[in-house]
Amino acid sequence: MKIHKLIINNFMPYKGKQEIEFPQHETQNVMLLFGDNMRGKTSFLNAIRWGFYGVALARHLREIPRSHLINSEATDEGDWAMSISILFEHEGRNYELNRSIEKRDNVTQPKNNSDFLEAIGLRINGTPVIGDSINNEINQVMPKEVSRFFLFDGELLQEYENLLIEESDQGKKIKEHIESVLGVPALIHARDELQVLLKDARSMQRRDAQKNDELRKYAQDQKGHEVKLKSLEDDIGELDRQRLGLQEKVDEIDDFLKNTEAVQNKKIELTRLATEKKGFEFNIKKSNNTIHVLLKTAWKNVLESSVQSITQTLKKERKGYQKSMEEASALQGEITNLRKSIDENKECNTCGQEIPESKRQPLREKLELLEKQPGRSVDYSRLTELNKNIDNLEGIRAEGEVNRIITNLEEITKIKVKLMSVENQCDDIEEEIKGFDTDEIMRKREKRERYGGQLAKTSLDMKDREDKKEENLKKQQKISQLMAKHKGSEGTLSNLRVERLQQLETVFSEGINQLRLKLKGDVESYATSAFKKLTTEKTYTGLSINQNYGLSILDENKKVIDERSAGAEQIVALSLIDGLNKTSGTKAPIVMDTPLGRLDPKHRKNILQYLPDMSEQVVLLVHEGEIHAKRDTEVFASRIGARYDIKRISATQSRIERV
Amino acid sequence: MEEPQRIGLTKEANDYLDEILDSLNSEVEEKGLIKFDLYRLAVALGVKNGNKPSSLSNNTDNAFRVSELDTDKALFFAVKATNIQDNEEPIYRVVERLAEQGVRDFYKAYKSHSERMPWDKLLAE
Repeated sequence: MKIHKLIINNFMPYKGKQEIEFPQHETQNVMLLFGDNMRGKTSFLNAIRWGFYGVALARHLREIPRSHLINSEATDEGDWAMSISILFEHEGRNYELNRSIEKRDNVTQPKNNSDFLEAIGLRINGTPVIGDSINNEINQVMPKEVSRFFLFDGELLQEYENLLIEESDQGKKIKEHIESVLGVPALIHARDELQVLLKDARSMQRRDAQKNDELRKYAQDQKGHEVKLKSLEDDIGELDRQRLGLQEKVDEIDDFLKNTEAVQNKKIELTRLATEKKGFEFNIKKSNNTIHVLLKTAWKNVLESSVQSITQTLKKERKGYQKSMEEASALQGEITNLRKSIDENKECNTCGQEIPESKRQPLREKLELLEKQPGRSVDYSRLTELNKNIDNLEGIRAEGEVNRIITNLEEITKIKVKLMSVENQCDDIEEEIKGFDTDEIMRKREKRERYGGQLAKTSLDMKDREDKKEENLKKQQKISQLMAKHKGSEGTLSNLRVERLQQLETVFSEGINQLRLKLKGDVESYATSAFKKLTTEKTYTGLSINQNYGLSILDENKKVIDERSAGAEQIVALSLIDGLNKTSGTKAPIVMDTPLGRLDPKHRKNILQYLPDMSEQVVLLVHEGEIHAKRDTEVFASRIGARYDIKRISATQSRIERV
Repeated sequence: MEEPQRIGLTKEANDYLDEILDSLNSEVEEKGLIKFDLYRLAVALGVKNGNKPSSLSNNTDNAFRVSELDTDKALFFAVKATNIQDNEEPIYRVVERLAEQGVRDFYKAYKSHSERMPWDKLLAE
């Protein structure tokens, strides 16, 4: 299938009529549509989806109500009509598909989908197709289930990671979609039908057995199991309803949270900054308290350092006194000795002879000289005073309060600089999120957590009931076999019916397993081939598929790589999409919305080189942050057949212009 | 030279001290500072800076008992050791004059720093 032209009229941001031609060339098969966020890239994808299937999807595959599909500027002007026309060819035939909605005449302000009239028309090679057959014809070209893998939102590629998580609800949902694409449900429905018939047949067998005295006990047991099975099935039904209800609520909140993600992140940042601010304020208070305590005794520390030099001076003076004392003492000793020698020792102490006057005269002269020398007397009262003053001053002792105050003040200054930076950041964020009800966002987050918990519990309960159901069916099968083998019962109609249906059910169950196995093998092989072209890591040898169609990367030793980057996840998801497209056998244009968001330049280059070969027509809806309009397009310039820009006209209006 | 039993501040300096203490104590939850604390600090900083304050023109309130203010006589010994007192002048009168000038200096600094005490500058070596 190849799209020739898309005609949009009043669809979402596209006011009035706009025509977009698609590239038709065999090799120049890529169409690039550049647009900033919020300008209408996803709306373009939805225009195609709505044109084919009458459904436009928001996140979590939620349907956008009709009242939101019509351009708001047009409705303000009283124009409540919206239409999409798609001109395409498939297997040599030309199709013209027109779908439109218009407000009913009797409705003033439409709110519900039923307030609109929908019209659909299809011409094949110019011949109108009658109403009932239109959807059938479309499904022949591109089945609705398959469209998910041709018209897809690149930002949701990470959802495919859930396929790797056993028992993940979202993973299950995606698995169901994948199996729908690959045709597994046809066999599953057949098997389910057979299980219903088998159940009826066993009831009939049990009723027959009731009439036989020897088999009555079995019949009673079987009856008990049937009652129990009914109760388990009711439980499963009820739990499934609960699960769906909860999932819907979770999806709704996730949508809301996704739309306000930036605000939430800012709010989280604000909370973090507020905590940081509190910490700073606490530390400032703590330091201030410390300073106050230190200020009480800081005076002593100031005194202590102030009197240190005085104390030194006093000590120096005291030392001088001490030296004088020693000198005076020595002088006095010498004088005393001389005097003694002159006055008492007239004879020599050694020989006893009288010492002549001529020898004693010099001693007298020396004594006279010494007695005239100053410093023989010391002022002891000053020394005492000095000692006292020094003791008093040395008694002024402190504990380094001043230095500790200065250290705390420096610390406060540093914290205040940080605090100011945090406060500025808070002001900036508050300005940015002004007008958003951030408390509502937080409440929704709490609700999301609560519902998530309930959902997990419901899933566990369901698993429990399903296990019990399986056990119950095994028991029923066993009793059924015992009844069938009982002497005299062989060959009865009810036994034969149970036997045949059981065999058929086994054949279909086995068939489902084999089909799944084959499909998985095909998907794995196609995806591996794509992956090898897309990855930049040469030691990766391929992909391995699990029960849920989740793909793991294998290293050179064929071992699963547990940790993978966001870029690698995107490559794997794209490989899976390619594998599914090829396995499904459908040939349709691939329209990708924001597919390169999480990729580094090398992976981006690989993907851009690979994409043109993924389908006969490839439409990339990108913003300039993903693909640089000049630099990145060079690698596949020869494959670009058309380039468009989405121009902003106003907040609620955009226009697509060919470049 | 007989030492006074009580000393204090002039009314003006006393009002300054009250204002500074109110401001400082409003910042903390801990037990607040009292007049004694800043009075002693004012004297100590005066000694450190080698202040030689002139006689007081007004009478002081004699609010502080010397035996409570200077329990271990540290202020007394320190001031005495600086020899800044006039002959025969009681040491505690010098202490009083140092306190008066110190409190006034505190207030001037407090006012010129947007009513915050610039302890880093006042206590800097």
